[in-house]
Amino acid sequence: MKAISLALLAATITALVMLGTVERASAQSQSISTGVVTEVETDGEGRLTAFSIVKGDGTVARFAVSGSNPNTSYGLENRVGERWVSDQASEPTESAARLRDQQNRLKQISVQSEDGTAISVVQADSKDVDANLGYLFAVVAIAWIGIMGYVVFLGVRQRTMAAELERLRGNNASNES
Amino acid sequence: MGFLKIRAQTALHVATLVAMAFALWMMFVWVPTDINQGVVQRILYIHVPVAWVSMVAIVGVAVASVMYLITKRENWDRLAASMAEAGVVFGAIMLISGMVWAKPVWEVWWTGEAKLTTALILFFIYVAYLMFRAYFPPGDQRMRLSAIIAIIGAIDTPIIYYASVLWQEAHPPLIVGPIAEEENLVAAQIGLTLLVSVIAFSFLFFSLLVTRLSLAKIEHEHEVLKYRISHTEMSAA
Repeated sequence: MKAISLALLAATITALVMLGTVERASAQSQSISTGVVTEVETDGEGRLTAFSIVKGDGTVARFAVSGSNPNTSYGLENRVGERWVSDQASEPTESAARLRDQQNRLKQISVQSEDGTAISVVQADSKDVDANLGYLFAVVAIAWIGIMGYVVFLGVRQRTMAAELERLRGNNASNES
Repeated sequence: MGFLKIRAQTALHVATLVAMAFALWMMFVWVPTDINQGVVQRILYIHVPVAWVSMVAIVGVAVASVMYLITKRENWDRLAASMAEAGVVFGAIMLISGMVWAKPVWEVWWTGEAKLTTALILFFIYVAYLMFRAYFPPGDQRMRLSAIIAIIGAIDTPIIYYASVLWQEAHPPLIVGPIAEEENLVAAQIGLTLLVSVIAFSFLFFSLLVTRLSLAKIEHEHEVLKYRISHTEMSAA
C-alpha cells in the first residue's frame, strides 16, 4: 500500500514537471508559430523555397520548405473561404502563390516546423494553440487527485480493517478460552 | 506462496510506475502539439485511456458476476465488487475530463448527445451497483442480486462504444480500433502515445484492483469473524 502510494506520488510529481515542459519540449523539437507572412522566397522557376512570418511578439521567423522528408503540407483558404490542401512536392509554385495571397490579405497562418523547416502550413485558428493550457492542467490535476484520493482511501480502510480484525481475533480467542 | 504473491503485487506496482512515467513522458514531451486544438488535445491521452478502463471494468464486473452465478464462489463476487469500485473512480475521471475538454473545444461543458449520455448512465450503473451492495445486508441474496444488476448494466458498454457511429454528433468518431474509419485514423505518433497511455492506465487499474482485492479479503475475514463471535455469544447466552 505504502509502495503504491509512493509510486503514484512520484507519478504525480512527474506529471506536473512534464506539464511544465510541454512548451519547452515543443520548442526544442517541433514547434508551432503563428503570424502574418512578410516574405515569400522562390527560385528562378517560381517554386517556393522559403517564407518568413512576423509573430505576435514582433519577431520574424524564417522557414524553409521541403519537397521530401518532410514534404511540407499546406491547408490554406482563399478569399472566399475555399480551402486548398496540397504539399510542396505536388504544387511548389502554387504554394508560393497561395502564401503571397495570405501575405496580401494579412491573414495569420500557423506553421509547424522542425529545425527551421516547415512541416505544415495552415490557416491560423483564431485561438492560440497554447491558450488552453489551464484546461489540460485541470484534467491532469483532477485525474491524479482522483486516483491518489482512492489510494489514500484504500490505505486508510485497509489499516482500519486490519486493526479491527486483530481486535476481533483477540475477542474470539478469549471467548473460546 | 504468500511471499510470491507479495512479490507479484510489488512487480505489478513497479511495472505500473514505469509504464505511467513513460506514458507521461510521451504525452507531455514526445508527441507534438496538435495544430488544430493546441495543447488541450493532450487531454485525449488521459480521457480515452480512463474511458477504456471504465468499460473494461464494467465488462469485468459482468463476467465475474456471471462466474459467480455459475460457480457460487464468493471470490468472483469479491472480484466483481472490487472492479466496480475501481471502475467508478475511472468513470468519474472520464466524465470530468470529457467535460473539461468539451469546454474549450465545443464551448459547452456538456451536451445531451448519445455518447455522453450513455457514458453518464455507465457511471450511474456503477454507483447504483455499489450503493446496492452497501445498503443490502450481506449474504447470498446480495451477491445474487448485485450480479444481476452488473450483468444488466454491462449492456450499456457496446452502446457507448457504437454511439458515435450510430448517432453522429459532436463527439468525435472512433479514431482507433476495428470499427474506426480510415479517414478518421490518427497520425502514428498520436496513435502510439495513445496506445502506451492505454497500457499504462490498464496497469494502474490492475494495481488498484489487486490492492482492493486484498482489502476485500480482509473485509470478508472481518465479516466472518464478527458473525462467529456473535454466534458464540448467542450460544453462550
